[in-house]
Amino acid sequence: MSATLATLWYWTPALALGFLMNIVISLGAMGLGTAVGMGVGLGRISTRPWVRKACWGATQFLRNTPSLVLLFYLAYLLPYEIPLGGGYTIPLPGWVKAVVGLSMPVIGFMSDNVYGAVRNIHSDQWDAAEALPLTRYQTLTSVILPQATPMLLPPWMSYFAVIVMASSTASMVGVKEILSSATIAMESITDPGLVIPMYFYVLCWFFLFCYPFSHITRWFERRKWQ
Amino acid sequence: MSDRLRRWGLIALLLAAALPAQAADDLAALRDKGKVVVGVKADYPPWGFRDGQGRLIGMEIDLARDLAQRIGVPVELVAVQSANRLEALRQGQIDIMIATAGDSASRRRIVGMVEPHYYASGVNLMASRELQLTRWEQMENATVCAKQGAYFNKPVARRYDLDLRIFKETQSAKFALQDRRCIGFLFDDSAIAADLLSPEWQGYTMPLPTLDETGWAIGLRHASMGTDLERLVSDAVADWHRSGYLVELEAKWGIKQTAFLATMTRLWNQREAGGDFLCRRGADGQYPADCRPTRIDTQQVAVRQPGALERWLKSAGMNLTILYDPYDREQFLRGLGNTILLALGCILLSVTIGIIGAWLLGLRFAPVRWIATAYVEFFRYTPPLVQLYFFFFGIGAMLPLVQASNGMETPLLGGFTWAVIALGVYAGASNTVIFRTGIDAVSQDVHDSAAALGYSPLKAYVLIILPLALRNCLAALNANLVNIVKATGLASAIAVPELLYVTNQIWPEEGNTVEMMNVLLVTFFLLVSVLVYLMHRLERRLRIPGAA
Repeated sequence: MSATLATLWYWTPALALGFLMNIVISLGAMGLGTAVGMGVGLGRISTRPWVRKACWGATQFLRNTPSLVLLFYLAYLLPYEIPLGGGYTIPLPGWVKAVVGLSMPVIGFMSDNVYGAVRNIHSDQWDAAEALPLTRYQTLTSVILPQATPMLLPPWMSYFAVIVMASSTASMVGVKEILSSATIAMESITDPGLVIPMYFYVLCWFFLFCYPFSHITRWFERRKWQ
Repeated sequence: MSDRLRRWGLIALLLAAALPAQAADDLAALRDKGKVVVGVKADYPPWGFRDGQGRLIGMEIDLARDLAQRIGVPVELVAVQSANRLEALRQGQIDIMIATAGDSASRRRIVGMVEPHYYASGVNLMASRELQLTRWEQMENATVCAKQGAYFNKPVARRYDLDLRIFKETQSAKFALQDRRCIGFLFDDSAIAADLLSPEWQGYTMPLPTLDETGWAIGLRHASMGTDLERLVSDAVADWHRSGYLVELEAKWGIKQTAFLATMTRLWNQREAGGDFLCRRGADGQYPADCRPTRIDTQQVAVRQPGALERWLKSAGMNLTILYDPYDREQFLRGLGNTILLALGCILLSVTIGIIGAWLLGLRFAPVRWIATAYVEFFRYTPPLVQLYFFFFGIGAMLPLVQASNGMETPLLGGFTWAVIALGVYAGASNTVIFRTGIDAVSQDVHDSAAALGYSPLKAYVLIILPLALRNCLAALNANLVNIVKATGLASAIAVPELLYVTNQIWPEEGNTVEMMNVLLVTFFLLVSVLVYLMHRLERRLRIPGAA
């Protein structure tokens, strides 16, 4: 028993470093996905019908395709590096591909949420903005979005926990995160009796990080009603 | 505005300049780059593996260091796997590949292979002594564990009608053999011989004759073939054979002595009458064919005559083997069927767990509520992939063994079953919360009316409360069931032959990465879209007009 704990303790720094990679990938995916997703979501209320259709189609595609499959797709088809000409290149390491791959479901999620939040803004706000008069761009940036964005924060934080859990799948495309660190540990140890404790330990890492996010929504509600 | 643009552009350019240069194809480029990146195995002892501290060591690592010395630059070792080693070389992630890669005509379509070969081995089976196997023909329809990407998997499986269970890591395949999930482990004979020396494999042996001795080659990109880099590498291999360095390494790493290396050492040290080495480069720049007994003849006749469809697709630049190769097509359809079956199984299990869990959460007895809550919270906030590994490799190994039809003992539950259990339990946790919310949303009036009409609590729950609750939470439930279908791909991690898994078996061998990835994407999108559509139809049918 103590030998098991000692082994787990020995591998903890490697696992911690791996988990840090999970967090980095998740933050990157949330950042990239939120930026692009808001654009796609706003595109669904565009004045031009082809933009609306294209953004709706993109959202449908991204929400209906498994994030794992998108991750594999991008991991194997994105090049190793992007040439800039003149002999300079930008390398695309595995974790960057994982960030792009995991940002896909975030784009779909943000698109749906931004669209829903904006549509929830009462039409009076749009009418008043038109009367002032504000251009469409000014209306969106100064009137609509500032009211819609606070509503997005609780689901955004919950989804961050979802993405952190999904980042474990990056191990399947060769990224050195916590699950692949655990697998490397198992390769080095080759003792079948350590399998259950090791994977339970990894489960605990995720649980301790993601569980607090479940109470975020309730905490936000309480703050709003103060 | 243009000032800011200029500033950011300059920063981007400086960043790009500070980043490592691109892949090098010949000696001059390598020396410019200042290092040579060599891809080696991390999971294939003793050719490439990790020591207790996680550092890469092994016979091929030693060869990589020797090559780097000859080139005159430091070496950078990168761990590759069978599934991605050819792509890593082709895309430029590594410059040289020394990763237990068997030479073959189909692989030469993807990368260049250097002759002479530095090693050769055949394929054999590691199986329990109890089985008393003597011939390969006895293995018909047997379940055999294999490692992903091994060149011999497909041909041997076809030849002897084996049912392969392919694993990403050697260690996983060996665990599965020990758990009796398969009759034997199909692998390289030298690697098996090395394993059989250790005490944990005492009850096992390598009973069958070794098949298909194939040469292992050092891989280079096609652009590097014909350059001074290829010449240096092939001269290095010739030197290793001549000086006996490879035989030395064989002994150092405890590998059973092979006839191939003994033959090569003799051949390459043989001298002609005039005192020159027999094996020297001829006028065409090649080493004599006799000095390369395991060479690949590139004029090998195609195994299959291309049909009209195949020719038309290939002329358009597309290689869709699932349409015209019977083995690939069968594998793909099998994967599709398994994905659908897996999804159905998970949906059934998770809905059942959800109903029971929701009922448990409503009980007045607090400890039961606490246990149910603990289950729900733990399984909702941990990744399903890690849960899958925990169930399959952890709990699966602890279960008792049962008698299978072939008289061997096999584990109680197979990979498919564990995938259903793991994903069903994971989704069941969310379903519990969804159903509980739906039930709570049914107003107290309905409960009172049911009691007034004389319904027992159980009958009221099943006949009145649940149907109403279902309509309350249908949207959330549909979203969760769609997530289950999307999550079936995770089962590929434990070698369940569903869609993602079989696709990942097809493209490394056929080299048609782009085509298969697109097929995979489109297929999953269609599967999920069909489910979403069916769910919407169900929602509309169940809707109660006028209900909130």
